[in-house]
Amino acid sequence: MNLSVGQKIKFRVSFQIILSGIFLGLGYVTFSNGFENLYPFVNGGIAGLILGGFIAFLELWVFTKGANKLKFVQLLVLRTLVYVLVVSAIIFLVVAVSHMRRFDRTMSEVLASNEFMQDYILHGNFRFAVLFALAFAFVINFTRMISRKIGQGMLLNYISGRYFDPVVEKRFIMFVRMANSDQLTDNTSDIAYHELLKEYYYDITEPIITHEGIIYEYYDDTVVISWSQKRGTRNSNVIRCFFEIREAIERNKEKFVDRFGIAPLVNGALHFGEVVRSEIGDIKTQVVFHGDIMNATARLLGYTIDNKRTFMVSGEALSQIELPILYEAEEGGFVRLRGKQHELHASEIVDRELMEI
Amino acid sequence: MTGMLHTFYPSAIRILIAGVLFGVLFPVLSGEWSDPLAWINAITIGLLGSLFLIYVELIYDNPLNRKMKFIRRVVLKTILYSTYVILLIPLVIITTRSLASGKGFFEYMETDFVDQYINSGEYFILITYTLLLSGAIVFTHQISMKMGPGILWKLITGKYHRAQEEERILLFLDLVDSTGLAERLGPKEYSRFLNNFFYDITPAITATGGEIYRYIGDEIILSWPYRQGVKNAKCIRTFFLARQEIRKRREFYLTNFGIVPDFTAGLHAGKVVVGEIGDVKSQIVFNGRVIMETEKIQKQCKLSNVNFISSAQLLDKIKMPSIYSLSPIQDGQHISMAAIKELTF
Repeated sequence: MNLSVGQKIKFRVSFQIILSGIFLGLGYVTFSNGFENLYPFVNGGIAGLILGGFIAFLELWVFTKGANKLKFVQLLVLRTLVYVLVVSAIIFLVVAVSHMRRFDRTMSEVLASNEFMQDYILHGNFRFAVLFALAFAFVINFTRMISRKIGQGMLLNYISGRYFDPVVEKRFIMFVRMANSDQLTDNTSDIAYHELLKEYYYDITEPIITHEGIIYEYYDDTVVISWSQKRGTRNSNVIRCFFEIREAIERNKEKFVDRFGIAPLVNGALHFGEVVRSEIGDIKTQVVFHGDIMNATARLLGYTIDNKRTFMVSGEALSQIELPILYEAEEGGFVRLRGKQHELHASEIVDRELMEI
Repeated sequence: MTGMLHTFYPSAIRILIAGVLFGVLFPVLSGEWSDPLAWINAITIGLLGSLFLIYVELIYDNPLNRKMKFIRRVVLKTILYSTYVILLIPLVIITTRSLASGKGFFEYMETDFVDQYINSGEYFILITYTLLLSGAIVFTHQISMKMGPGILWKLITGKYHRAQEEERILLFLDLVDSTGLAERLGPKEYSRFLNNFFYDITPAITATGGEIYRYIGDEIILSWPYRQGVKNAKCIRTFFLARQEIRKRREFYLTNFGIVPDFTAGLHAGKVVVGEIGDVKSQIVFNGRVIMETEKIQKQCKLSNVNFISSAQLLDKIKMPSIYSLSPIQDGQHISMAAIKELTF
C-alpha cells in the first residue's frame, strides 16, 4: 500500500482503538460470564471489534476539524448522542443475532418475537444499557473535551504533579509563525485579524497532532510546539510536521484569500536541547518551559524571517533526526542571532520539489 | 479591605444559593413533597453546608489553598467536605425530629430511629453519593482554578466562541533584570524564583479583582473590565499591594535566592478583541493595538528609571487616592503618560 506517513499514523491509531475495543469486549464477558461457554466470548469479541471500528471511524474521520468548530456544549451533546446511538444500535444487533442462533429464527422473526421486542427491548435490560451508555458517553466525552481544551497531556500532568517541581528535559522546540499577518492588521479590523488567526490555528492543528507534537502556547501569530526526544525523532515527525502545516495552509489557500485577502505564509525554526519544565502560578497555573533554547529558537525564527528563509533547523536538532528523502538540508553555517553573543549552527531545510520550480 | 469585599460578596451569595438549591433537591427528588420536616431539613442542611464552604474557601486562610500538589489537594478537600456533609445530615435530621417530637436531643439519640437510620442502606448510599459528588466537584473546581478563575466556564458556555470587542484595562508587570537573574540562578532555580514571585503577588491581584490573562516568561499580564478596574483605583492599587506582599517576604527571598524581586509595570486601557483561539489548548486571547501600546508603556519604565507608568488617558478617568503622586513622563513619543509613585511621609 502506498500510504503517506500521516495516513499510516491514522491507521495505526485506529488499529490500537479497535484492539482495545476487542479486549474490552472480551474482558467484559470474562467478568460477567466466566469461562464456561465459548459463545459469549465470540459475541463480546465481535461487539468490541464493531464498537472499536466505529469509535476509530468517528474519532479520526468524523469528529475532525469541522465538528471541532462547534461550541463546546453543542459538540458535547452531539458527540454524546452519536455515541449513545452507535452503542445502542450495536447492542440491539448483537442481541438480535444471538437470539437468531439461540431460538433458530430468522432476523424478521426475532424482531417480531415477544422475547426480543417485549421482554428485552421495551421492558428489559436494554433500557438500562442505553441509560448506562448515556451516562458513560457523557462523562467520557466531557473529560476528553476538557482535556483537549487545556492541552494535550495537561490533565495527566496536573493530576500526577509531574512538573510541580522543576524538571530538566531534552526536547525539540519549534516556533511556527505566520509571517505576513501584519499585512492584515494595517487595513482591517481587530476582529478580522482574530478570525484569521483562529482559522489558521484550526487548520494547522491536525498536522501537529498527527505528528505527535504538543502545542505549548499561542503567542499572537506564533505557535510553539514541542516534542520529547523519542516522539520527535520517530518518523522524523518534527520535520514532516512543519511541511504538513504548510500543505494544510496550501490546500486552504482559496478560503483564506476569499475571506481575508491574504494566504498565510508559514515560517518556522526548530531547535533541540535542555529545557526546564515546571508548573507556575497560583490561581492560574501553567506548565511552562524555561531555558536558553527557548530564547535561541525564538531568535532563530527571527533570523529565518529577516533573511527570507522558510524553515531553519539547528545543528543540534538536525543531528537527532534522519531527513526524509523529500527534503534537503542546505548548510547555513553559523548564523549570528540578534541580541546573542554566541552563534548557532543551523541549516535551512527545503522541499526538493519546490526547489526545482 | 475594600478590594476583598468586591470579590467576597458575589462569591458568598453564589455559594449560598447553590447550597440551598442543592439541599432542596433532596425532597424534590425523593418525593417527600408533603412532609414539611423534609423541607426544613433540606434548607437547613443546604444553608449550613454553604456557610461551611464560605468559611473554608473565602474567610479562613485555608492551608489547602496554598501550594500543594493537585492530587493531594483534591483528595484532602474531598475528605474534608464529605466528612462534614456525612456528619451534618444525620445531626440536622435528629435535631429537627427531636424538636418536632418534643424530646430532648440526647433523649432522641437513644431511640431506635437513630440506630435504624445509621444502619440503614439509605445512609450508606448517602455516604457513597456524597463522596462521589464532592470528589467530582472538587476535581472540576481544581481544574478550573488551574486555567484561571472563570476561564473553564467561559469555554464551556462558549462566551467568546465568537470574538467580541470589550473595553479593558491592561497591566503588564515585568521582573527587573530577569535575564541576569536567570543566568545567575540557573534555569531550575530561576523557575522556582519566578513561581514564588507569582505566588506571592497573587493575593494583591485577587484582592483588587484583577484577572490573570497570562504569564509570558517573567511577565504577568493582568486585566480588568474597564469600569471595575477604574472604580476605587483598583488597577493602580494592585501594583502597590504587590510591592507590599513582596516586602513582607524579603527575608525569604534573600535567604533562598540572595535577591528580592523588583518589578516594573505599565498600565493602559482601550478596546480589545476578546476571543477563543486554538482547537487544542484553547486560550481566550486579547488582540488589538492596546496590547502593543501597553507593552511600550511598560518598556518606558526602564528608560525613565521609574517603576510604574500609566497612560494619561486612563489616569484621567481614575480618582487618584491621596497617597499616590503623578509625574508626567516627558519622553513618551506617541502616548502621553505619567509615572505613579507612593508618597513617603
